[in-house]
Amino acid sequence: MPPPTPLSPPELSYLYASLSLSPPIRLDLRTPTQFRPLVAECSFLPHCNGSARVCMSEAGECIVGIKAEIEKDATTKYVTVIEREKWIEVSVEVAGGGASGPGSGMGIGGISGAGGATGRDEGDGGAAVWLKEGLLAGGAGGWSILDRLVISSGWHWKLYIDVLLLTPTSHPSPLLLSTAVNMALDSTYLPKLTSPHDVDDIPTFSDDWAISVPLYEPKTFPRPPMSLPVVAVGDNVFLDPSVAEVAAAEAGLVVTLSLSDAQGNCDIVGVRSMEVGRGGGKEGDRKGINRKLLRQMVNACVKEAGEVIKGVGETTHQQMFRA
Amino acid sequence: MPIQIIAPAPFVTADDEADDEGGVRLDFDNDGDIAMDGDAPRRAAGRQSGGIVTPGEVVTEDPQWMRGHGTYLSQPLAPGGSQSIVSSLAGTISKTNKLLSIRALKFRYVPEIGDLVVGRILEVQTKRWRVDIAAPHSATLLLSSINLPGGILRKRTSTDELQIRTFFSEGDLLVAEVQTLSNDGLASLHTRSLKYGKLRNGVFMTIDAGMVRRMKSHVLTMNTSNGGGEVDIYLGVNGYIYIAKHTTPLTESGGPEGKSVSITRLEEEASEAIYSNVNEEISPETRAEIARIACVIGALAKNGVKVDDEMVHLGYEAALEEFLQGMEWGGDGEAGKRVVEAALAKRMEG
Repeated sequence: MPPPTPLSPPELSYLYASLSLSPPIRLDLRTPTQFRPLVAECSFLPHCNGSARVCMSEAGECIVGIKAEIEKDATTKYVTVIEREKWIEVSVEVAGGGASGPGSGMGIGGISGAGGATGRDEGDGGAAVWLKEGLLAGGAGGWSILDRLVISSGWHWKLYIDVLLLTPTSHPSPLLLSTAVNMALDSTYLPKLTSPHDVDDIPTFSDDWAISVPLYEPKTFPRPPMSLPVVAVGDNVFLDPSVAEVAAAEAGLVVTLSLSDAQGNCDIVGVRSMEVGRGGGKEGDRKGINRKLLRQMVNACVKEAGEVIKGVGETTHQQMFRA
Repeated sequence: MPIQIIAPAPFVTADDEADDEGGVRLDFDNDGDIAMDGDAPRRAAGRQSGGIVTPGEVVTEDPQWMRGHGTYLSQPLAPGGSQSIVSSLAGTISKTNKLLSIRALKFRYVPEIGDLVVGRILEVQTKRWRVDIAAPHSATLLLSSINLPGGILRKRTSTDELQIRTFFSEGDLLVAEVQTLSNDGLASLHTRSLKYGKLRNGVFMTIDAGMVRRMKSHVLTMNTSNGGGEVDIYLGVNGYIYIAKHTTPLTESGGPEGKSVSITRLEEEASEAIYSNVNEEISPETRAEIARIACVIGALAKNGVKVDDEMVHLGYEAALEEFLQGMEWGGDGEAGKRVVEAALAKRMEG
């Protein structure tokens, strides 16, 4: 496949002008906060504790499998933060190597500071870094996913989150990856512990999956995090931008949020900047981004995220093997 | 609800009973005898006309069939054994008398001489451009097959070679005609008519190559409602589509104002405007209608309806009846389907 070609100057200026109108006109006639429909299913891989498959029109297809294994704590007495963060390992792979290999400088969805598209969550790990970042951030009141992974004294679960992008030639959006990881986490079940909590011996588990324990207890909060891409063109803010819209945008953010209550209120757990095009004008002509616009972008995410995360969660629960 | 989440379509296993009523089974010859070995696994799906086969799948071992497009003969397992016809594509089986061919489910555009295509410049070389036209190979556009500014019949000079990027540069969109084909299917394009050339004032979209019906003219001009004015639609045979605000073509000698453009005047105008990268003033109304037409074409292709002059017009009418305001479309996941159904109903009425 040829490398992605930039849009032509007339296309960019047309897009920029359309999107900066008031009200803006998106090419697919979506409203600024409307997401594109996506196809999603979960719990379909038989050998995984949790799995999900998500397809998006432009971003292609992505599957996530989550496997858990028991591991002895590395340090018996004091479990350090660094040690604990290794309890979750995220890896992102592009099927067939793809155009954007490790270190090629093309982060997934153009998230700056995220390095190459593929890789693990250590060092220059690409998309895996910000996926894990959102996971570890936890929620209000000191809640952390790592606490859910403790089995007994001296033992914990180690989670392997493997993300596989099946369409290497597409433009993977952060939304695709984070939706898939979100659904997979939401549908993850761990075997029920049968040995006492406070014994140092190797823990034993029930082999009955009907009584297995969900990683994220349903109806409790926070729910697994989700990252929403948002771009700004002129004074307008757009959620779930298409590739062309990103190219014409002036500023872009990926806001990671987690649902904090049943009313749909969300906590921001992470914000990263997203690489965007040159905003329709000439090269180097791009406007700076002011505080008001930045606030507007994050607010748009926070406002819509509740519905989105709730919607994804409902779909997950309908499809789960124990639903 | 800002997001719509669709569960994937359930996996459907081929229904044997329905299969028997369908096309003629290949496993049976004309007398009704089973032509296959009795111990060979009988896979009902994929072995009959209209069934789906995958690459490498044995279509038939019966020697009475001839191999057509999309198939090859396998090596016989034993020396002197019979060869079987194997599919080389993922697609449906079609039979013409005793000729077996596979029609691919999804395929790239195969260029033919005279096709109107929309393309995007991939690379600028010394005397030519490489153009993406959604074909297996990228096409070439020679510097000598474009309209050079200052006169159609001017000879190309070395100055033009140096200025090649002022005509087209990477990423530029153009509408062209397939001029020649080489033996291996490589297309060479030309834009030596004022109908062709650089595209601006609009939006670009792609659909599958097979979804554009071949027509007399692939450039449609539509009158839009809501004050949108006239809109040009370039339906490339290769599935690349450009929808733009209507501009009066320079070829129209004797326009509405009755001013006739002489050949020399034409050349001057061509030189000024033809390779410009600047859009004209486009009103928000026109932009909304362009987006609506793009949605109509996208919905037609998505629902498996071939795009042609008639369907674009009917679809646009249906979209107008469904949504007075363009903005309401995007928020409705089923909108595309409804519009296409309404358009098809209109076509039935005549």
